Amino acid sequence: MFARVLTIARWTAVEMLRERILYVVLLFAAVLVASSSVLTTLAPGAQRKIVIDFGLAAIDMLAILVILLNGSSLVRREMDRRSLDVLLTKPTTRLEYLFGKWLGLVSTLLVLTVVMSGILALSVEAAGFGWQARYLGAIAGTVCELVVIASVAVLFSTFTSPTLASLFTLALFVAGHLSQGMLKMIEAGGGNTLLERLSLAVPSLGLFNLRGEVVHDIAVPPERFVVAVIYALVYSITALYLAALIFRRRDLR
Amino acid sequence: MKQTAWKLVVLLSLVAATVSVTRVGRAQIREAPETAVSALPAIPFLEVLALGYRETVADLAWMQAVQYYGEYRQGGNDLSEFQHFLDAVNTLDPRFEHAYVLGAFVLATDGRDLDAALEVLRRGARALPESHRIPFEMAFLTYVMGGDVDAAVHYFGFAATKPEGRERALRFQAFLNRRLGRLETAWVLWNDLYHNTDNPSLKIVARESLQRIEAALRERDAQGSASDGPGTRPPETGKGDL
Repeated sequence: MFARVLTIARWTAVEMLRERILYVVLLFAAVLVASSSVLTTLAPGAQRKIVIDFGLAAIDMLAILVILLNGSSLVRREMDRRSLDVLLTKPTTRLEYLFGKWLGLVSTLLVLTVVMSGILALSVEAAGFGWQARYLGAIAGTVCELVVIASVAVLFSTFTSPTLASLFTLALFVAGHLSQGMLKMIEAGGGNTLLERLSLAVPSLGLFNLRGEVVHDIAVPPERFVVAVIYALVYSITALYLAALIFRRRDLR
Repeated sequence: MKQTAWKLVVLLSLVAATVSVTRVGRAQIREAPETAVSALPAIPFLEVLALGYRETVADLAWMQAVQYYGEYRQGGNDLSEFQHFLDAVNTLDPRFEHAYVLGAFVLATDGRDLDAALEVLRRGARALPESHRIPFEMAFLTYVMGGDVDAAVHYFGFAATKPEGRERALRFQAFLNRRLGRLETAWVLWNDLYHNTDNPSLKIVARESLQRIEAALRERDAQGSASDGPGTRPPETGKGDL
């Protein structure tokens, strides 16, 4: 089973890395990170903060952009090309197929994140601010977030068009970042059980955002990392299983 | 051949039209009244808009604030909306220490609103209780802009309780105590600095200050004055609330 999943994942990653959009994004990342060094002239005294803030945010935003542009069309593309028909005649379940697609997408994002982090580290060093190991904490949080959003994109891509899948993924990303504030508002308004229950379906993306802590030298308790990793995995597996259930019912002829 | 020439003419005409319209548009922007603040949405809206990128949006708002201040220096605005920028930055990123310090400085010096500046710094002190720069700035502005030496001594004392800024704050506290005529208090503070600093230059300054204070005390005793006025009070510890 794992061999089949890994084969699908590998080919998904290879296919994505062949896409020109990834190279454009990498170039954009380099320009953005470099420009953050230029932006610092507009904020004397806060240069280090701004370079790190912009760099970490750019890594997150660009990886999300890749998911929205590429991740949401992963399944549909193979359906259109009819390559999925051939693949499913092999002894591969639809869950394995989706899991492989998701793993391929996550691997690509991981490669992308590592490269962008390298560019950021070089940029920070070049600016003379000194790269610090604790920045990796924020990047690890970003990776957890990407794992979740990638699973959501795969879920949506199983039952709708790439455009709608991208829009739904974007909507859930926005809702995920607003969920904490919304919950506070619900609590302040006396509480609403239905809304509270609905909010549980929305990924709590604030958990993965460690950029503020990292930039302001605030120690992040190790428990938060552990909870973030477990949450990301559980949420992703649930989303992929749901995707497999939906995908199993689809008639691909 | 003729068709290609026509296409080229159409293309060049379109390019020329685009360049002209761009120039007109740029001129319109230059002539438009200052719109810096309208470019920054209301704070609650900004909070929602920032999603998970609050610190980055705070940075952008701060850069806009700096530009707005730059325009003021060149006579482009009256600085009346600077506080709005500052509130946006501090709401989005309450731990942005530099924004509190520099923002308060601008409000106090160019804006001539010391109360607003101190309020910004108080908000900063609540968000960053470990900061030594914020109480130091409060002391500095209170002394330089407000002329309230007593309050400045209190704030410097508070800044001196923070390990990072202790020496600098103690030095100012000692200086002001001497100005107030509290020679014993000034002596105690300089003596503390002299014995506890690792900075050789500061040690020299502290020793010279101690010598000058001792000379002043001897002179005062020679004149038969038994009292040190307000200086007979115990030294300001700086402990307490801002």
